[in-house]
Amino acid sequence: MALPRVHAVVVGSGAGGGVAACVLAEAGLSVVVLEKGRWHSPFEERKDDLVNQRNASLGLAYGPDADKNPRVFVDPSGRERVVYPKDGAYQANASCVGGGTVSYGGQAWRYMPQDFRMRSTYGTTPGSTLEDWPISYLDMEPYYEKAEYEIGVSGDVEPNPFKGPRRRPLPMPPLHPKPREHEILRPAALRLGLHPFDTPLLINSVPRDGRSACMRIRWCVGFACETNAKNGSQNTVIPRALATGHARLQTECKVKEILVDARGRATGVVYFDENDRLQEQPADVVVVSGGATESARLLLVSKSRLHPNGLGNRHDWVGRNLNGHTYTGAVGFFDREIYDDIGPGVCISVCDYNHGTPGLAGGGMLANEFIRLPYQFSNDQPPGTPSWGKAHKDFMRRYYRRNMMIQGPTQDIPTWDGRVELDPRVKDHWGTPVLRISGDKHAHTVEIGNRQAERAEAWLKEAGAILTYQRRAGRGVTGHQHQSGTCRMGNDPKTSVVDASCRIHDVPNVFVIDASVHVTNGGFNPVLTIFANAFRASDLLVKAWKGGGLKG
Amino acid sequence: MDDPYAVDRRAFLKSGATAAAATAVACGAPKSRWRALSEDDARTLGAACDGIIPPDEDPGAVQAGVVSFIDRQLATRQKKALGDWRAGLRGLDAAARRRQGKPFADLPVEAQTALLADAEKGHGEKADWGDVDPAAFFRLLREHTMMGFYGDPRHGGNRDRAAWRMLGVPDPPIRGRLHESPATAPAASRKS
Repeated sequence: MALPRVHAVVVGSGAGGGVAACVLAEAGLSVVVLEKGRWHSPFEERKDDLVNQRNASLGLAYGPDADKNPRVFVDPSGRERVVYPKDGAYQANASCVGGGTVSYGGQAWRYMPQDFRMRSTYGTTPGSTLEDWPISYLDMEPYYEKAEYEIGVSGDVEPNPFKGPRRRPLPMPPLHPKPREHEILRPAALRLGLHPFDTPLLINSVPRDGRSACMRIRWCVGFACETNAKNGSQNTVIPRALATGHARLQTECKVKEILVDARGRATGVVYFDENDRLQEQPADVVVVSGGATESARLLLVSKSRLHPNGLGNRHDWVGRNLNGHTYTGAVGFFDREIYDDIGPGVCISVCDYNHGTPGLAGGGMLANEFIRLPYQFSNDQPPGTPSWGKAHKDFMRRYYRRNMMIQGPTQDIPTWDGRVELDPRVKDHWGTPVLRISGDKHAHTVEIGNRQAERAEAWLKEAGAILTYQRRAGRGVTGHQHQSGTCRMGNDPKTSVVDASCRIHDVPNVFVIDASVHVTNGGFNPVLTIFANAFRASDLLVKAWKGGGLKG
Repeated sequence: MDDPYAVDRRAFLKSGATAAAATAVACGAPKSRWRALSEDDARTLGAACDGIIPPDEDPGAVQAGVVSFIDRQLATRQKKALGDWRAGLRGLDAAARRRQGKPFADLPVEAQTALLADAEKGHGEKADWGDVDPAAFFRLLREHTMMGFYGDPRHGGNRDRAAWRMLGVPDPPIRGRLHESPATAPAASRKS
């Protein structure tokens, strides 16, 4: 028997779903949020350097479940294997209330104006699906500001001459005190003619919104914050949604499919509840916010007479253009102490290399890295360094406290073949088809990624490194925490999945609100853009909502 | 020390010897004090781990509890890996007996290191290793030793935070401590 009907059902509670739930509920709609994972209270956190989202040697701390959701990974040479979440090939993003925003590092980047116009800026790139967004930076600007103020960002981006226009500064100053890496890397960048500035972070530098300021502990990226100073969906927009009194959050619920009526419109969803019982949740509007891999899966699995290939998939675009970022950079070793135990680590960045390299499309931001924990560092040595025995131990003693790493997310050039689709054989715990991930990087991405590694190395050398090595681009499609692109936004229904308001072209009451809709993913961590676009799309949804129904 | 499975290096070696003697007398496998490993396998493992992270002025892998760590993983989260571990340890030990006439654990450190270096390169006789790929076993050994040595002590390794002390990583973390007193803190965090 179906549950009582609601105005909107939101699938997922991360950066996209959290904002959608909040905006819709505050506009007076009744909302049910279905989240596959569970709550993680910051006060019960006991950080574990072998069990977290950054290092899953013994497991992931915030999901997805270790066994219930396998996937099939096809490597660039065509070999396939079944993978589980702690395997890097799985391309996992966290699965819990708040999604990836519970345990992210929280870099809060606005994309640059060119990032919304990649094709117009650089022309077509053979073998890629490079395209412009149907909206511009200026369309997003007010919502970037809203995200910065309503979720909470610290930092100082004013010295960055490459940024798009903005009306207000960030709401919080940079974290204080500044780590030693900042003291060393800033003058080195200036000597190179670069334009360094304090990295924007979704972390409180001052008490704000009833929560404390950051206590600068070393375990940051990959972990929940035990003092709740890291701002995510779970401690901002989700509580606001629930405070309205007409939003409900159901955890450990796995959505099976979106239901569609004879006219081809969605009527709600069916899901497996925490006891694996099937439930039907009727709704006027369905918002899909499961992240780029799982949102695509949900659309693909929701087949019906009018949508035989899945929702929004009339032209085979759902699941295509999967991309995260190609991380490249360099590590530098010094003859003096660098380590000062002041987290989170990342504090200084440059945008000199995001655009404007002759002959290459895009690029990426470079910043110093989060504090690397000893186990991580033990696998992080220059090629040729002994990886075991006394020489290894000597290396660790000499350099753990005397190194810095600079890296950045190179903008991936999207491809038609970098994709997720339904695997024809493997099923998950609930008997539904799992994702099959395949594809490779565009050669252009590798080229510019390697250029970024050389630039990072030059910065470290200028800072006085006595030994450096580059971390160059590997092969394979990217996804992971920055996964995007699988339900592309566009004006032409033949070459995109959703329109500029994030509504599926031929299913007017289903919205996709997460990084799936990103046409390209910038040379930046994508989360602020996910938050901002969610505020924008949810506003449009509310405007289209009139007296208990959706127009159009 | 709250880990009932923890033993120090000396007691570990001594009990290994006692257990070996007991085996000789009783002609039966001694009851293992480990959760997943047999006494013999644990003894080979300890020697191999100490090859990966040898004791010197700072503790080596065994003293830091890496054998406890691996044993605990094989009894809990990584039960599936137990077969690979056993086969690999027996391969290593068989190679030692054939080439040096002694169990791996009884060889001098230089000979142990040479055998490990061969395994790392994938060198090994089929008669010793059977279907085990020595290089794959070496990767498993190195990876788990690093986890047990540098990882969180709650998993049974990094006993007394030996690795963190070695690296001068303050514990517990306190905001801005090093920034306010950069000269003294690393030294203070080391065992005197």
